[in-house]
Amino acid sequence: MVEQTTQLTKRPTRIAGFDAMSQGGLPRGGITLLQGDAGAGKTIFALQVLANAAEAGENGLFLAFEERSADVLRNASSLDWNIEQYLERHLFMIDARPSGEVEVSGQFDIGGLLAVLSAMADKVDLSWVVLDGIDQLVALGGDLQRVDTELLRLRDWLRGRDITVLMTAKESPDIGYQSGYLDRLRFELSTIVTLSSQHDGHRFSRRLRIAKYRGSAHVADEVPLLIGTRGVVLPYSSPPVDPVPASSERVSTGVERLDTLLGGGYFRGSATLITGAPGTSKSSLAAAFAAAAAARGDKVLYISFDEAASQIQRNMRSIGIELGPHLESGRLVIAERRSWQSLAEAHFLEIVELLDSEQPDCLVVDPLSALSKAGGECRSYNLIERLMDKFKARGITCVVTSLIEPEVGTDESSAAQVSTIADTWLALNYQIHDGERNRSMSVVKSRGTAHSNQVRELVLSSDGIHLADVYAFGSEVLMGTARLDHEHAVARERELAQQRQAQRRRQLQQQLRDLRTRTSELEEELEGETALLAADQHQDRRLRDEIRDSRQGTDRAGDRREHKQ
Amino acid sequence: MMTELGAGTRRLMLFLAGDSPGSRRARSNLASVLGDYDLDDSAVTFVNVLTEPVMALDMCVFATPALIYGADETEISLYGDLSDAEALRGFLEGIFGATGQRP
Repeated sequence: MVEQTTQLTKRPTRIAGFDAMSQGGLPRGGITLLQGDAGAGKTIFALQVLANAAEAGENGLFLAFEERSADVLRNASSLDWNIEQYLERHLFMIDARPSGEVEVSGQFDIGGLLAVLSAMADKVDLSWVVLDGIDQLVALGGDLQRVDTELLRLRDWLRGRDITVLMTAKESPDIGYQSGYLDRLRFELSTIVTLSSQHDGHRFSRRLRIAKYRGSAHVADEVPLLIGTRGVVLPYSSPPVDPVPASSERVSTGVERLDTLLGGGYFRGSATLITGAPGTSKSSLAAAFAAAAAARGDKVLYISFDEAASQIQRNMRSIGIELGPHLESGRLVIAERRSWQSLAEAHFLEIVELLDSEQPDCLVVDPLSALSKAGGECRSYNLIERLMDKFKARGITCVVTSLIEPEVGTDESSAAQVSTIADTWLALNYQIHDGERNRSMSVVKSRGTAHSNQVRELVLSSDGIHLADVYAFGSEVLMGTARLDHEHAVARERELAQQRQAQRRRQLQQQLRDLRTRTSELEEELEGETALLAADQHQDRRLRDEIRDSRQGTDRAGDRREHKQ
Repeated sequence: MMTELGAGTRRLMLFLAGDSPGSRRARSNLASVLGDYDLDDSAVTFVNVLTEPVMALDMCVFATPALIYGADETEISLYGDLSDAEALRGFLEGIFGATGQRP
């Protein structure tokens, strides 16, 4: 076969995720083989391409070699496409399945097909042609060498036409004639998309892989494929989005002392992972965060796996966290999900849809680890990391919990795989001491925050969640009754110290009063002494004056006697 | 156009893609056995899909050559250049009977 030397250009399929994987869609003027086993979604995929094209104003022709076109349309009627509106305007459906009994005598070719295609192409400006179930034509018989020839004829027909051909073919080990035929097609065609289906336990799941795309970069990974009311969706195939710029704003955790411990709370837009065994208060911490966020006016989406909203409300009320008013105000939305109800990839898709519809500022997923119990691919596609990446890309402050069950093989190391994308990791646990089981919490990590690495007791009471003071005792931190005993001892010691201080104060005050009295007495004594001294001085001055006066009188008498003599 | 094989809606049609080698072989191979059934070319409607694609569409004929026989609700098809004489005779005998009696 001679390959086209013209530059490869592509036509978008507009199937969510596929155009990202194929970097633009399927080749214009080229043929793509869409192969897969029965029920893998080939026909839906092909029809969706045409429905999407019709919505965009492009024309498509669907030749149904396997099913009646009416059946194809009926199957599609359960989807949200409203495909009927495009019929005979942009979408042309043709029954190509031979009717009645069919036999073969010698060689045949696709001359009839090309004649019909030409007639249609002359009539309408076709962008897409789907040959659905081309294997049915081959099933009539004929030798394999002619596959090359017929493909060449189809390529010749396509030359100079801006038409993209999508050819679906069933791949089944039960039908021997096809293996050689499909091998020929695979060898000759430059673009091959493979759909497959499998059972994951009791669940049926589908996959898509771009097996070949000659001349084009593409994602070659096999990815999960979902068929829902929107048709085919590839949930993990959306291109990565740059996260919003990191915020320095802190938002409350809902626990005052935890806020203090984390320098004011979680960073807005950050992801927090809370891990712990059953009953360690993961949900309580998550709900405290949700309640605090709603109270300050943030929109909160609380995704609860396997616990009803009413149960969450009731349980949180018992520890003083009232969610009811926030639910009524609409600032808090609880979305209940059942982990066993869907494939992991379906959960992923529906959670992303919830984000689209609710546009939350804050998010709780409790527990995110429930996804690993859903059927389908979870671990191999790093589903949880993908989800958390979505949250962060949207700037949503999220708190997700992860259940650790040592009995079934999950421990902190498995959570650690998840934690790489989390900014803060709070590890909850039980401390068993003296026959007591007490809840504890430690901050394993908190990016951008200086924090204590001490284990603290987490105390739940009817007035909320509290972190107890840390009392180190040797290598342990006292908790529960031991902590209470220690607290009582400390309190008693404090009380005694206060009593001693009060007594000392009283003694000092008495001494002060005594001193003041003595001071007063001494001052009075001093005043008396001063008065006496002043009186004495006065007396002295008077006596000196008298003496001086007396001396002056004697002197004058003598003078008079001398004068008389 | 279609040739009625007697009363009702019974018809024998040979769909061809112009004058391609396969079409020529089919026409020739069919002609060589029609006489055995007391028939000639006039009993067959020849449809050139290149000029009458709508007919191919109506009859869901996408592979050529194709010999189609329709009667009432029944339709049987023989694809190929009719070079397998045994298959061709089997097809025609299914319609006209082993004696080659015209229906």
